[in-house]
Amino acid sequence: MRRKLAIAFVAVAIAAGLTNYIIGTLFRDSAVSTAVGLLIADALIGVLAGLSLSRYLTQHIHDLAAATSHMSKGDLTRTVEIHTGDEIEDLATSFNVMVGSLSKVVHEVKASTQQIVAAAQQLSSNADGMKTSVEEVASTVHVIARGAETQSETIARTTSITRDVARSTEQIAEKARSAASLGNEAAERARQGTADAVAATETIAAIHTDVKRVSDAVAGFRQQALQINKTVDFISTIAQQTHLLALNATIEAARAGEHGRGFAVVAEEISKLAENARVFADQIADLAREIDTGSGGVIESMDDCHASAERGRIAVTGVSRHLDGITQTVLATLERVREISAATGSQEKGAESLVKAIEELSRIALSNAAGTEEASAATREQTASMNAMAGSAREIASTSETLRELVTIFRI
Amino acid sequence: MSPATRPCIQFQLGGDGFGVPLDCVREVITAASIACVPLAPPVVKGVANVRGRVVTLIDMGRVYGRPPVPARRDDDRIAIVLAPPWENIALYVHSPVEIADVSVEAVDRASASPDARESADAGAPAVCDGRIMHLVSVDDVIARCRQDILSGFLRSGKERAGNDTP
Repeated sequence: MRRKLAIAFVAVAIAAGLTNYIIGTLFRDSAVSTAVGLLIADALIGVLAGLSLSRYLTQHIHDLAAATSHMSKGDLTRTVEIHTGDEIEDLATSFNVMVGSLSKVVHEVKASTQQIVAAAQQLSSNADGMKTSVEEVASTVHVIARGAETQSETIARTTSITRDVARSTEQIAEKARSAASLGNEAAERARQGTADAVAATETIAAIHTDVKRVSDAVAGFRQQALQINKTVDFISTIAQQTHLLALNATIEAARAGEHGRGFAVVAEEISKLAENARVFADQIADLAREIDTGSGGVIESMDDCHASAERGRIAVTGVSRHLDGITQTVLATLERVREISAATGSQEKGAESLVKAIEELSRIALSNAAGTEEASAATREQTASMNAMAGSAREIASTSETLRELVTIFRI
Repeated sequence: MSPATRPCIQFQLGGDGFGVPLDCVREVITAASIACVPLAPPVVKGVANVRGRVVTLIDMGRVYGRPPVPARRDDDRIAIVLAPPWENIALYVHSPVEIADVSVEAVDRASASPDARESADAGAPAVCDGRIMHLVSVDDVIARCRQDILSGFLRSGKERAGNDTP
């Protein structure tokens, strides 16, 4: 700057010398011309030098002022190109550096503001979402709390029912033990019945054999009676023939008249004997018929008895088989009853454990109900916090938006 | 034997007692084997071989209209062979056959009783052991049989003639 001012003064001096020379040439009056010349020359030189210096100084400042004016309007794109090599150039350089730095800062502020706005909006959205979720969670927790209360009540009822079931199971176990005892007794009786039936079968078989033997004996007796009948028939025939012979002898005696009287007596005696023989033969025949009839009746009775014994044997065999089946069934039932008894014993223990577990479950359910109540309260608090956070996020977003709008005046 | 009695061969027909005079009887035998005669009338029971002689058996039940009763045994069938001139005829009855004395005087008294009058066509009534019986007249029996036999054979002949006519 000083060098430029020196150069300006030198130029002004040279201009003043030249002016004096020109004026001296024109006015040839040395004194006047010298004074006027000097005055005019000095004045001219002063004016010229002032103008030059003023112009020189204001030109760059004017550029700086224009750039500053643009910058004040947010235009950070303008730089000042001054290469005067003096303080103005330094000022312009510093100005450009300042504009660059400011532009960089504004650029970063803009980017950060956009990020903040986006983050605030995302935060607000997330807060809203979280609020919704928390509200849903609160609603769900409320439902869970009601469910937990219902569950607690249900578990209480279940506990009561389970206690009843446990008591019933205990009674069933007692009944099963009693049934097992009765089953043992029934099995023992069935075994005894089977043994008795077997003995009865053997007895009936013996009766059957005896009846058969007696029946055969009676049949033989009947055959003998029939033989007696045949013999009696033969005797009757002989008696009949004798009778007829006596009859014919009597006829012949009658025909002989007086001479046949003695013969007629003999014939009459023979006839009487024949008649007696016939009568006895008839009696024997009647007896034989009675024996035959009786034997037939006895044989029929024996056959009936035999058939009855056979039926009895079959029936007792069936009874024995059924009793055996009953024994097997009773034993199987007994085994089942024992299994039921064991199962009911286990069930009894299981029911007790179940009651304890359900009581524990009831306590847990009550605790869960309390926990869900606390969770419900916490979710309500969280909802309030979410509301507050959403409000803050919205405020941040609004502030960031304002900042972004403010930063938008800068052009970079 | 008193003069008032008469020996008879007594037998039963349908619960009624009958008697054949002993002097009309040759013998009494068992009619074990009887051969039936084809186309014979019902009064002819059949024929039997009596010691080589063919004897015609007259069913007394049929003669006196008594219901036929089967014999209990074979030797219950009795043939009362008549004396000559009817030695080829025998009366067929069932046991028992006995010899009994019939009161001839009582017959007249008994004939006046209503039962005797009702059964007069069955033979002359008589009394045997206090019971009324019918005294059979052999001639009457032969006459009845002859009439039945002739009518029977005539009827059979007519039937045969009717069957042979084309």
